Amino acid sequence: MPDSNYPPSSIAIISKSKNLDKSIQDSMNLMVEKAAFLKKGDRIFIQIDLSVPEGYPSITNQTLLSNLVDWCLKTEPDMIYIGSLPKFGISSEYVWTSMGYSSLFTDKRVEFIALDKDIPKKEINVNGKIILYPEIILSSNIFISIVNVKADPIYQLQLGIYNSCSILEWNNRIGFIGENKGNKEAEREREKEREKEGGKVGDKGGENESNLIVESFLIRPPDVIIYDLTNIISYTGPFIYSDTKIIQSDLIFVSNDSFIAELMIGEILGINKEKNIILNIVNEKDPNLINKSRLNQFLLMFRDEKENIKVVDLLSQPNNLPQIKIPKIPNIQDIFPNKIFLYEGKYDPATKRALYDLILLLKTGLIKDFENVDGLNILVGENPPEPKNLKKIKTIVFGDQAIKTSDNMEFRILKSQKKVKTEEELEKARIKYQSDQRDKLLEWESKKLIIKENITKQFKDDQNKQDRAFKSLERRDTKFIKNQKKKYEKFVLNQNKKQKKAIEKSKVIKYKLNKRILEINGNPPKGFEYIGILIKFLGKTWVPTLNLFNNVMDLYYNRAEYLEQHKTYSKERKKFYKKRIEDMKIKKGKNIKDDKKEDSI
Amino acid sequence: MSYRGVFAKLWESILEFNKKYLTEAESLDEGKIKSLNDTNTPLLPIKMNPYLFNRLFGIFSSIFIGENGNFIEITLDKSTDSITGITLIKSDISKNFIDFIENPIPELKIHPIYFKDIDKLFIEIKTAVFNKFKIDIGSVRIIDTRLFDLIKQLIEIDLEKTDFERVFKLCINILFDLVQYDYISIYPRLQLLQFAKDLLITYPNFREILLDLCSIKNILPKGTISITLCGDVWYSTLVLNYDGDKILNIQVMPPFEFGKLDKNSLYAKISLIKKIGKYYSKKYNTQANYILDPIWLKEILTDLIESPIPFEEARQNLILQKILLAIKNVETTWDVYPKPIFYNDLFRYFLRTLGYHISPRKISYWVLPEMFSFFSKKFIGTSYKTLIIISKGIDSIDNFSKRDKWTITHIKRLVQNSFGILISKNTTATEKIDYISGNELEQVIEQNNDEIYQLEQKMIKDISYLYPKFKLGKKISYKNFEITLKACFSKFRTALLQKYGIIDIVIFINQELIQKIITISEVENISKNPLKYIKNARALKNFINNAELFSIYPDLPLYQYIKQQGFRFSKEIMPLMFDCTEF
Repeated sequence: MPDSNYPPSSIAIISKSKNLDKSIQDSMNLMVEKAAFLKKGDRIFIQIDLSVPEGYPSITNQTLLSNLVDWCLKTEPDMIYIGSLPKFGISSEYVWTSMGYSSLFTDKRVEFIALDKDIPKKEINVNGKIILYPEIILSSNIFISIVNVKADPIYQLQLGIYNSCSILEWNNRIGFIGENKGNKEAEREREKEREKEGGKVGDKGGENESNLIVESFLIRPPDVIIYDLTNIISYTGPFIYSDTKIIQSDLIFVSNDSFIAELMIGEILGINKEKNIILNIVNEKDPNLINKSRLNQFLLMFRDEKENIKVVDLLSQPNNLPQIKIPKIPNIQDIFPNKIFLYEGKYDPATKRALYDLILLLKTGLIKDFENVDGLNILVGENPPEPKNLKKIKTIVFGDQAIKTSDNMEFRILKSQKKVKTEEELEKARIKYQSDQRDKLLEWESKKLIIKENITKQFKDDQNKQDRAFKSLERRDTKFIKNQKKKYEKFVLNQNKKQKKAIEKSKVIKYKLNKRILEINGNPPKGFEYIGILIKFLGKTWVPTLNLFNNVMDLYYNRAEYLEQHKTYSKERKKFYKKRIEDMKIKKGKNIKDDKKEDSI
Repeated sequence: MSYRGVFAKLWESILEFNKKYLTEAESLDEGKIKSLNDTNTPLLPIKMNPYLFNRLFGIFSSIFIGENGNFIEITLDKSTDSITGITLIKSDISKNFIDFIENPIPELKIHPIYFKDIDKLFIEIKTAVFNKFKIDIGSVRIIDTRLFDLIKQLIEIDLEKTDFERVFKLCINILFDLVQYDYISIYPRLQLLQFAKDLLITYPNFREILLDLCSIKNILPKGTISITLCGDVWYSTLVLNYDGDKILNIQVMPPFEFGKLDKNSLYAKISLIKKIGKYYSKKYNTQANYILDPIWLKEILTDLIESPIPFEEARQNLILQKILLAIKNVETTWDVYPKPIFYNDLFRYFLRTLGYHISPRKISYWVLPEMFSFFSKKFIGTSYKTLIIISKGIDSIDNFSKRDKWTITHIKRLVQNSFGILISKNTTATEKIDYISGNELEQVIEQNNDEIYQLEQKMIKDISYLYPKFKLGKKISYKNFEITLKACFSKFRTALLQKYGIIDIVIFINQELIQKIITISEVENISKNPLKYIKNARALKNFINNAELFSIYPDLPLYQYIKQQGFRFSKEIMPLMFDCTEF
């Protein structure tokens, strides 16, 4: 473990090459030449990115890792350990095996350490919170970290310091970065912390979380940090979503000073230092850590046409600093698909991250199926506004905050009351009936004329018969008119009766639980655990793509426990609302009685 | 023999027809057309009625000639660096050639040295031709005389006696030589030639890949089919017969066998395909009769050749979308007789009750390509290298005992008789396509025997972790074979590091699998006998779990899921392929 948090001589190297294997080896050679950080017999720990079993750049580039290990092996180390922990509590061994890392190394000195398994860990107090830190990292002579730059809804980009969390157990990450999964105790602790802070919600929470990230990073900052800038996940991340934009470059950044590296990467990617929450925290702790003047050497390295290595000093020629343009993280409203309506209250960064995940997942998972979904209301945060279009659109209440604060909202319980027709509507119906009768009368009149003509034609020679026939026609005519009158009177009578009944019925209000609502519990809901419930809610047949994602995810992401929890939770909620409905009925009954009493007085 | 001698002769009867009827070809009497003798078609080893050739050439010529059908052709003997002939080629409005004028501008003394400043030369020639003939030429083509030797080989082929594999290979070689050795250069550039050049520069190994693909056994389904290209009133039918014994027989049918088409009838094509189907199935025993819209074909070809190279993903998706849309629009862009059973609503309803949602008229053309590319991004990555190994199986069983089955010797033989296509993809485009020979792959196994043994141990651990039900066989067995095969694939990923970098994914396909797919897709099965089709489809059922036929390394989650689901996966994938709303 180093004595101070930064090396005596800070060196940063940018290697520019289309050939990744040469690029990494050249930059490491130069780094050794300048900083002499490696010696024979060292124990090396390489921290990689194994966040999810998805393709590169969600995870570490295998060419880069393989070349780095090859290079390390040339220095004759004692052992090279490689390790990291995925997100959501997925097994690291699964990612390592399924993505093909396991067969990259046959040398016995190279070993993969599944940090989620039973390995010796040291308890370290970070701001009053005990976290378990892998001893293997603390005891390694050299700690190398490979960082994939990815978009993040809270920090804009996930850089080296943030990445340090991936060596901590998932439960320890609670409250750090809003990636919440873990035991209930930890969650309760978090609640308490929040209460102590006076229930603050909003961006302030992000700073507290960043504090913990920085503190945990300071336990053992990497001796060498490698930024893979060849493929950057930007716009939406940190995973590959349908909106994700991959920015390509031919740069690799290597430094022996992680803090300065974070600062310089910010310059390359055009991130304002003041806006970098993590760097601001570092600045508060020790301004010298991100003091640019500590940077002794800043070199740009590339190979010319004849494959000779060229080095440019960027401190004396700062104009040569390469720049990569990264699109800004969009506002949550900008990425919302047309058919999804957000009703947001106030929420903390953890919920913000979870909401981003939900929206991007829906956008990605429903890539084909949006045609089949009528629309969705999503309620999130504290005191969200009342949603609209409830009869047509399903509603998701996302997170405990929204569930609790929208408990009493009208949309939860559907009221049904017999509608009474207005006098105007009744009049309209009467007029319509009359007009129908008039049509019938006209029809009869024309029929009458035809009959008259037929009679005169048929009995033109017999006047008696003709007279009799006309008389019979007249009788039919009066009968028809009488009938019509009777019918109309009957209609009006029925209408009045119905109206009276309706007025009686309209006094009764029926209450019904709104079943088109899905409550996703959790504070905030945990990374993609809820997809199964969501699919059931939307209808499996209508969302086949999301269903396929979910089925593949089942291979490595065990969510049975959450589903079980959710079952009991939703049962409880149903009971809760049924009770409320009963209460409402009783209350209404009382009100009616009171009204009657008042009337009698 | 001079250019005129060999090639102008081929055009003679066509030119004669074009000249005679000029713009009247369209309204020509049926009887007259039928009375015309079939003639050799230039550049193709088949005979055809000049009227049909005129119609087809009118549609496709803009791809080969450009927008202006008049041009000057200069033949150049590169060995002596001398010009052997200059011809003005005159075309009518539909870009059908109507006249060849030899040495049209003798006053303009053209020398190969002027080719260096082709801009100037083109303008001079254009002006001279216009002044003399009042013809506006669109291009100048410089043709190396060696090209004629190549084309001569193609024309002289007797299709009835020649192995189709040889014909395909010859065509590929001619096309690639033409571009690679600059046998033809056109000014201003022709999109087709530019496309071919870019293709060769970016993917230099394309020729080897195509040649090897041609040599896969039984790549063509057995039987007889007819293909009809259908214009407004005319149609041209080819009857193709492949007896499974290397010979592909092509017959061009006489024009208007079933009378002229009614331009104004919406059902003209549908009734034509029925007539063709009924008549040819009796006469030539055709199992399937296809009808295609040549204008659509031309549009797709134009889209393809206008694509920038390297192939960009967005462009690929667009072209795929167009193709899928055409497949969806049966009875307009194409049709087939007899219709496959999947077009039968009753049969589809029956399948749907079993959970299989198949609806070819509702292919989700609008999203499938995009979805496919997104899935590959999500599950494989945005930049990756894929090695596709296509094995031609084990040819002979000499020196190959039964004991060797399911051992590394078996794999070596499989790999030796195979070839690899290495596709390097970056975020937006297919960057490179490399060819890896079977010998190169076999050498990897040969040189790393010990390491493969170590990898086998790793594979046993990995596979038992990913597939908990997997149990290793006690002796030499199929299961052990799968382990060794995967160990070899994992070695391929790293062994070729110096040359290609780490290969992200290795896909192994045995030609047996291709043959099985071809057998089940044979139209006879699909259209006539659904039970036979189901029987054949069942044979394919477990290919995903048969490593000798198909295998992927590493076992990515999606592949792992498909493997676990087997045939059931098709149920899950169908709602993604077809739109849900139906009955």
